[in-house]
Amino acid sequence: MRLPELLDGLIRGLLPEAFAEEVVGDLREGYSRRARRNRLAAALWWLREVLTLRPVALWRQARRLRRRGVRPELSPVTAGSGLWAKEFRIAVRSLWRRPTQSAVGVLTLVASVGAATLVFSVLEGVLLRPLPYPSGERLYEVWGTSAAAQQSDNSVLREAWNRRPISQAMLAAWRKSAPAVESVAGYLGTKVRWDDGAAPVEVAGAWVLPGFFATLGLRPVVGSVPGDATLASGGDVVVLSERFWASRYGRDPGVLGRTVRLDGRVVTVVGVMPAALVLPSGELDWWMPLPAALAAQRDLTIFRGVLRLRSGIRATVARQQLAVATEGLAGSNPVYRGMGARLVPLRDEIVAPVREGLTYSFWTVVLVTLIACVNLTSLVVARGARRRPELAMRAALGASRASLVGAMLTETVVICLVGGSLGLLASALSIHPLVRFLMSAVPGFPRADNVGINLPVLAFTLALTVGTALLAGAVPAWVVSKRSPWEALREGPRSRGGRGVRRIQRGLLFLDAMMAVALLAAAGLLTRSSLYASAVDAGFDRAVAFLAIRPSQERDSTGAEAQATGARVAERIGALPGVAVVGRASALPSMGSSQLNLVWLTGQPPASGTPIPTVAVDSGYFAALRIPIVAGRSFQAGDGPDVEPVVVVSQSLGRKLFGGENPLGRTIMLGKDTRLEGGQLAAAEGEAARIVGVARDVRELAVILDPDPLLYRPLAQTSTRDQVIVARGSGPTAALATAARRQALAADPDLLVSDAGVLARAVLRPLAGVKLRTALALVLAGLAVLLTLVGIHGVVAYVVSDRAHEIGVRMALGALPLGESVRMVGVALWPVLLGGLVGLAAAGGLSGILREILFGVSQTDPLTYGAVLLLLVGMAALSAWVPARRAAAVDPVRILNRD
Amino acid sequence: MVHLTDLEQLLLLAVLRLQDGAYGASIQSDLEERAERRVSLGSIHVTLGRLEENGLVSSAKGEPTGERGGKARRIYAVTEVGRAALEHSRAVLERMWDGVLAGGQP
Repeated sequence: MRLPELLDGLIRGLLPEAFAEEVVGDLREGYSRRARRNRLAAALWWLREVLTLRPVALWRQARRLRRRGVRPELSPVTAGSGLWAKEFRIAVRSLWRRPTQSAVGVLTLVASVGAATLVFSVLEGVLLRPLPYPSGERLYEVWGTSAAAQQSDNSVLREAWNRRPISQAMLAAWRKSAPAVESVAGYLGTKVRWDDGAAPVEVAGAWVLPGFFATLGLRPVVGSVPGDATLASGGDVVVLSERFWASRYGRDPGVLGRTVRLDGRVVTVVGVMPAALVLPSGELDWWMPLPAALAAQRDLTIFRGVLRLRSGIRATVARQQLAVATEGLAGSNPVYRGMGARLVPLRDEIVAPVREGLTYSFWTVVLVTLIACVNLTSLVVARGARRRPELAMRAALGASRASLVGAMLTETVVICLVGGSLGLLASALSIHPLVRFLMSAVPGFPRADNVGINLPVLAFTLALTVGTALLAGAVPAWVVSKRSPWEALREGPRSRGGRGVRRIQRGLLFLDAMMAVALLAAAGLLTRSSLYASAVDAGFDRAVAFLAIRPSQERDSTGAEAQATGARVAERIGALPGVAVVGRASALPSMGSSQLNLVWLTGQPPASGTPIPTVAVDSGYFAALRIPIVAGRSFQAGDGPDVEPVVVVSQSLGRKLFGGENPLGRTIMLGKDTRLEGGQLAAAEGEAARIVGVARDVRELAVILDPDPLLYRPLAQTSTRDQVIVARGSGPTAALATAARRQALAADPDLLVSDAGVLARAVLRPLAGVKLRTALALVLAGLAVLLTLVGIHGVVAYVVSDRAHEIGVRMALGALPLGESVRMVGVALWPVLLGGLVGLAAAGGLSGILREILFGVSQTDPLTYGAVLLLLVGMAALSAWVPARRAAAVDPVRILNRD
Repeated sequence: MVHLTDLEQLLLLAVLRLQDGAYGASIQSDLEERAERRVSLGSIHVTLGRLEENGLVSSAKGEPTGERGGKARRIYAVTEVGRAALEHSRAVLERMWDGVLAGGQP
């Protein structure tokens, strides 16, 4: 029997006779006409029509027509579908007679279909849907790469080296000599104080370079976008985001032509870009030309790049052309030596923070659906066993095997359709709370507004439900109806298939337990990992405000001048009320921009040097971040450019250089004029520096990794230009960050503040994805366990009622009621235990997948595995005990009398 | 006199226009093409049933076709009562439009 006939039959079953045939015929006709043009569109049309059939109204109308006697009944049903309608009604009645069992089946479906629909709707909207740009698949984010990346064995550091910002000179070279590139442009995210006469707010946006709007290919909602000439000359115009336009100006078109003061620069609003403009750098609310002072610095590598490939060109081809073009620049400026390019599809870059979590959830939910399938199979097997006498009678009367299978299948299909629709309803109701949760759990959750129940999601849910019905229904239906009617009739009305059915059920329990344990083990590992990450001591206090500044290159041409500017700003911030301590550094822990310095021991050749991450810090830095100096001293104001070079080493660097010996007072060599040679850092000579202090280890690049050896140098003994100022105060840190920003701009209007905020938030940003993944894994594993327990309960209940006769006889012969109950629990426990063990073995084998996303815990952590197995077996025993108690209630007298 | 809803008028007109070929699927396509209105099959059948109940249309079983999976059509025709009701609705509308100028002045 083919699927269309089955569906026809189901629809017939829903409708009154007076309408059934014509409606089913209309659906068929409409579908086949549309299918000639487009099959998918036809299927969607069909689905929409079925969902809007209004069966209740049709039933009511049919009754009224009958009362009036207007419409003669159509001739009795023709072909197989009429039979399906009858089967359908029989199935509904039979399910109705056993409400508990049916409800369990339906609820299993509601849970699994609901969860799967939710996860898939997020996956579809965030990961699968194409970007809303014209030919968005040709858009890439472009990074510079550094040869130093190959030198590092630290994956986080390597990633940082492979994501170097780009410069205007690079963009120009690429445009000129990379024919694979249709267009490429750069932008630089920043925050400004938005002052339009109303209360000023701080708004994130980006300075954009010529070609930016053309590369993305979006048209403004209102107004226009500045042309490349305006973008190149640093014209005083700004384009708003649709979101900001709506929230700040209530979508008033009159905003065009308005002037706004942004950090002292007066600009005119000329356009609004649609909400579709999404970039990997998070939510941006304005775009304007780069300030002329910055635009003049062609070799400043500070921009993120967005690139549009020519159609039909592969990214690898473009990458090679970009790398060659970049190499060409190295002749005129050594900054570009060893630099290459890297292309990442824009969509991948946008969804990167949540991709792993969503993919993991999707596969988990597939397993949960399989568990639901197994449970349903078990249910159908039990029901089939109960219906054996009836089916045997039908077979004896000449029913074909196919029609018997159909009879069994119909029940499953009904359960699945009811459960699937309710599951869909449940997910539709919970999708918005879920999206809100996701957005709060992961700040800046990408593309969250795309998530919803739409046609692809509906198609997925329909396919999932039908698939579940077929998988869960067909096999047992076939098995149950397989034996000859003669055998079944001979066995008599009491038999329900006995041993064979029980063996199948135990097999199914085994499968359930296996999948549940594997999921639970994975969730357990992720939880431990996440707990570890939250509890880990980063080695520094994160409750500080930070401000990343870039002094004007024109005015402060040397490092010393730039540092003096930094010191002036720091001083003003230090004078803010409530500020206790202020420090400056070239980079902060966890923000991934430390330099590498070649370090070797005195008396050794420079070739023995190893690259060590280095930060330049001032005398306030260690106090501001509360990094303890465990030996020696911190830097002092006197550690200037004209005195002996000194350094502070981290504990792990001390160990790395000197083993167990005390590093204090020793001298090390720092590479001078370090350059890249054949992909390796090399220096011809070095300068000696004395170790004056040992600082406690901090986790430098990511709190989730082991601490890296770290070298500290006094700021004044380096040529550091870009500085990060950290301040600790008694008031709220967020307010301090805002105030510090304002002070900085007041102190120096030419200053570029590239980032500002609270360090704790910046540090924890990468952890948000980890937490989300853990939460999803836990919820889904919980669901898997719950479904497994429901399955166990069902099987034990069935076994108890099936073996009531045997139990009665045993008790009549003196068996204790309690002993019988325990025996029944044992029936379920053995397969669960076995399944659990195999599941753990499977989890151990598959844990290679987990290794990438786990930290602080081994992927075969025995504690987690043991706890998981114990938990599952314990809960299985409990859920088996509830129906098993009924065995004790069996009345031997009644059982024996029945024979 | 019976007052027809917008959808009822459209359905009656479609049945009249399609003459002998008026049944669920063909009416739906006609509404979609000519009236640019998407009406679900469910609504079409409910409304036709109501019109039939009130004697505005009559129906007869047609021939089954292969395209319909062997299911018969039900062919609708507008009765005299239905025609009168439709004329009445049109007259009402025309009376209401009378005096409303294209420019919008009374």
